[in-house]
Amino acid sequence: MALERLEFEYLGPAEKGKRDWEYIHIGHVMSGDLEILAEPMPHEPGVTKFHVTTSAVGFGSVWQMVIDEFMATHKVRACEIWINDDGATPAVVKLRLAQLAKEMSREKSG
Amino acid sequence: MENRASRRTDWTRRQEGFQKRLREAQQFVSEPGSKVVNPNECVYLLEAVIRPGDRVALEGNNQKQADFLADCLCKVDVDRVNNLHMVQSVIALPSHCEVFERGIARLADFSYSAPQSTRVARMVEEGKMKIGEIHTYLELFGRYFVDLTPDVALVTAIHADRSGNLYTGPNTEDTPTIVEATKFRQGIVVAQVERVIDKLPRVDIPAEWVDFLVPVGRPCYTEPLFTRDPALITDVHVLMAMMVIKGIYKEYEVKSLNHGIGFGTCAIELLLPTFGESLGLKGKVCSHWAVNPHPSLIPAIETGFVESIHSFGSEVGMEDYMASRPDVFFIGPDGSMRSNRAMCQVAGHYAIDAFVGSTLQVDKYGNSSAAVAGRIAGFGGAPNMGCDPPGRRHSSPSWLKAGKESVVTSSLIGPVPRGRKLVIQMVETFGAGLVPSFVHRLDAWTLMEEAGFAIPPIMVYGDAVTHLVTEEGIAHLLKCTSLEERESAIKAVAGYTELGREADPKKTLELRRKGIVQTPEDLGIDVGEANTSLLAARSIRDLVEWSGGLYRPPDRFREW
Repeated sequence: MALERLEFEYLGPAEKGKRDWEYIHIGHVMSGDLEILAEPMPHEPGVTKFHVTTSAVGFGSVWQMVIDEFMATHKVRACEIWINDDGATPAVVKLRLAQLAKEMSREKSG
Repeated sequence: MENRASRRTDWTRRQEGFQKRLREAQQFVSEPGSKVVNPNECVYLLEAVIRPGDRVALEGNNQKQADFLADCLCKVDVDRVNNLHMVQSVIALPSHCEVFERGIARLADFSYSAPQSTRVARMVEEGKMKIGEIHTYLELFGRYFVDLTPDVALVTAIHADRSGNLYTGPNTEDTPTIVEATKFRQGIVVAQVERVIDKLPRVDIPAEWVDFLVPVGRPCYTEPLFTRDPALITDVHVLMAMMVIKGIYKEYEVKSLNHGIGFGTCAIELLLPTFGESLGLKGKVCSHWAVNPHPSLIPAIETGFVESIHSFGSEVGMEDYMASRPDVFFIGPDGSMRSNRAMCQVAGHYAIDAFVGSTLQVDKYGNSSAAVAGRIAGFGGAPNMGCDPPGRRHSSPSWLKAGKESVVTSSLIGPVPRGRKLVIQMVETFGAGLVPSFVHRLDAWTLMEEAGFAIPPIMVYGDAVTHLVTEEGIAHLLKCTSLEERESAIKAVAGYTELGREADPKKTLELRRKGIVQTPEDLGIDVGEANTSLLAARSIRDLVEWSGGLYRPPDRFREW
């Protein structure tokens, strides 16, 4: 099966406040779904890196839009995010990213 | 004064013709005066009672099938029986197609053919099947009593008694409609049954309306069409279901409704006892249903959300559960449920606040279609429920609120209060295989050209849709004042499809301010909370447990 690798990097003002979460895992790799792994990157406080590996080839521009929108909404900083995708729809991608954001804030407040 | 107008003098041609056939067929009954025909003789019986060019209603319903009679019809001598005009609800079985492949039938008027959609399209292309019209169930039933009255009906029941009374039980479905249309125009009714017994639990069809009984020694084929495994519901379905419950059911106080068979509506049913309860909606919404006995409704029934359910058909495995909940289901004096497709379609057309369906494609005007090029699938009953019936004259809070919000109405009838049924379409912006659900041109147009239809097969017209729900949000199309505004609202919820990318962010913001478009955030729903763990049941086994063991799912749904 052909796979496509996509990289996205965002630079912004460094994140304020203390980060409590260590490592987050959301979702599963299965047909129509994806998994997200997130790890803090404390040495690069203003950077967010996405590494997408997807079985659906040719959807780079859609990934760009979905992740742009996520970053505009959630201002996630200083972390590295791996996405392993097996043909999830943008609806699923958005929802899993929202769950990731939820998990990050939950760990913080908890 | 002499009356020169010619007068018809023979009034019993049909009657005499059918009497002649009945006399000729007497040689196949087991003993004089009996209606029972040995299954081995059934093909000969059909050759005796069916004439070339007859209109034949072969009972093919959404669920139960007169499968033995269908197999026999495929085996008749094509020199004796040919050119038949099939008038049947559903083309579902391979044998329904074989009747055409073998040249026994030529013309079909029907409602639904999804299970054989590819083969039907191929037969039309090869000239083996000519389609009269594709109807909704109610239209076809209507035409049974106007210009498509069957000459011969081949129906199915559970059991018969010796005089010919039929017990159709929970899956009564289309039988009363087919038999009434056929018999009261003097036609011939043949019924396959499992057995002929001494005393029936109840009489669903009186003996006088039945001419022949074929006891085949086994139940007829019945498809568990409305069983959805909760394990296949995704978080996205949950998100969309939360939006429908909070943004529509709660707001409009939707009390009476129909649900399609998609996973989105299945998720709604399973969220009522959890999310719905947390919003305080028990007793306020979803109390009265015109719907098949979906197993996924069991938790909502058990928690007291549901007061009544009338059904088009039954559902395999739900019989004992329904019989144990006679306050909820329509149960006969014998203790078993009776469905009736025609009656339930009337209920779904006229008597409910809301219809919720799903679809494969939506265009920028909001027209939706499940048609795919190369497949002729028909309509079934969805269009009768997925529309606002112009003849409705009774009111309800939901109907009045929706009518008030439909500002365009006053431009047609002036300041007269008039309500509106809610027609809600739930659709993910992309379907399986990342195929966009929002398109500039529906595949229905291509299918129309391929099959030579007069109109594209549109399931629900855009002007009927009041709400379009995607994972992006709700478009309250009923509030739009122009086609242009509708297009903007549709694009606003069309996500990253080509159509969705045409959305103007400024326009979308304006629509959100007007309340025409609502995102999950606008509805106070946290997308990150949308999770299948909110479902009252997450497997078929959970449903069995909710039912206290009364629901007995077919083996194919058992994984334990």
